[in-house]
Amino acid sequence: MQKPLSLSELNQLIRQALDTNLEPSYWILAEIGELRDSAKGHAYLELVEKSADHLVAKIKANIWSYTYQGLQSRFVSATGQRLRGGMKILALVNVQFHEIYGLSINIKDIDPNYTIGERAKRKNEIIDQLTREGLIELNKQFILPKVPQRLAVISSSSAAGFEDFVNQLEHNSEGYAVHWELYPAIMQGSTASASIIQAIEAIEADVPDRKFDLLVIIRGGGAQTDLDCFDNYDLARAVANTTLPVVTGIGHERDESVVDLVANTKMKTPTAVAEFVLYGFRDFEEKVLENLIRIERSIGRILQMENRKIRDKELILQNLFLAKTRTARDKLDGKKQGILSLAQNALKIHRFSLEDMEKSLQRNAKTRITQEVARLDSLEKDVNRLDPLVFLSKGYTRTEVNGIPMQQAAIGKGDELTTFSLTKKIKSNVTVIEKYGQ
Amino acid sequence: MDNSTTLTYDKALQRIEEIVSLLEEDTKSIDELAKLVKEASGLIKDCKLKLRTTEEDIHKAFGEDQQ
Repeated sequence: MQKPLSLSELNQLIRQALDTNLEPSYWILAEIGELRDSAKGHAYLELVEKSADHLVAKIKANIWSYTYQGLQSRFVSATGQRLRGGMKILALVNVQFHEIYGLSINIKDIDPNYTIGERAKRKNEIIDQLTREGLIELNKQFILPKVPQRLAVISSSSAAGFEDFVNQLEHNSEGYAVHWELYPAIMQGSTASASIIQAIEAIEADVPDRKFDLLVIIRGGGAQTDLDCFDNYDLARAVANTTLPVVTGIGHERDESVVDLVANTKMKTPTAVAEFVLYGFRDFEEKVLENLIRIERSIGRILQMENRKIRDKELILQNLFLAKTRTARDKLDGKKQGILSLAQNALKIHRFSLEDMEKSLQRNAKTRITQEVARLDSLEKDVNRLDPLVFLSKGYTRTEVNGIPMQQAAIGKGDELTTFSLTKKIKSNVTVIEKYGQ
Repeated sequence: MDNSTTLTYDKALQRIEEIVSLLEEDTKSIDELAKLVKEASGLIKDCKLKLRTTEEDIHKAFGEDQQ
């Protein structure tokens, strides 16, 4: 039997064996199982290797303070995040054995490019899966509301980005009132995805009451640290499946996160999201104003047209009235003329009959006088004819017996006759009476 | 002669006709006849004068009216 060694002797042997058989350093691929910062500024890690979720290797590791600070800041500037558990790394290590603390490896350097590649690979796998499941385009099918007035906001209440967002919204120069409600969530680190999913579920539960128009996911600006949570499959799925259009303002500078990809609209910063929302208001107001102007114009045109129509009708009415009045006046004039001519006719008739009467009176008077003259002439002729002087002057004589014309008296023998000639009165006595003539 | 001026035209005319018929009857003496003729002639003259005056009056009346 070999002489027993003390524990320290054994540990020394192990250390010598390791020192002789191992290279001073190796590049190894491993996953950080756990990382804790010590008070002295060292980092204590547990590196693991998994095969289908089974642990196949595990070792303790450390990064001494002096290396750690520089390494960490180089890593952050290259990958945008700090070293943490779950990360796959390519590390330059050397194996150490300490008699008291045992076997461990000391990390001297980490190549961030490997981590970036790994992450990109994983991200691509997630994107491929989401694409296969039709989730990338799902939220983009929502038509953005014209005026997003009620916003459900997922953010960390203390984040500077959230403050920027609220300021931008509430101090807009147009004075638009935008209602928002904050659903607080943890926006970084390993618990962020689950916290944001919880907030989305809370919002979905409130949608029937609150009637949200838009779901906004914003993250406070600052350092580009730890954005892996936005490349999480479960979160991306939850965002894609919301009943609201999602607008993100997560603030990546390098490339889009998976959540950005599935969102309806991706903006760079919370301020940009606020501007985007306000732009909807402005755009709508401009359109409303445009329509108002258009309405005003067309109403103006219609009014003008109607005015013209009314004027035309007025003119027609006026002309109609004028025509009617003219006709009525003409009619009246006609009647007047009629009355006048009737009166004149009547007058004429009366005058004519008066003149007739006058004429006939004149005629009658003349006729009467003529008649009277004729009568007198005839009487005068009679008188002249019967005047005894007339026939005496012709040589005839007249004989009377005792003053009685002879032809009237009975004459006997011896009667004294008085005979008158024109110039003589002869007295004689009857001696013989003989019959004479008839 | 006296009554010739006082007699109206109609009475004068009546008298003239009376005288004509007396003359035609021829029952009076020649002196009376001569007297009657004289009366009738006078009456006729008066009547003619009256008629002329009347005619002038009528002319005057209508003539003035027509002017």
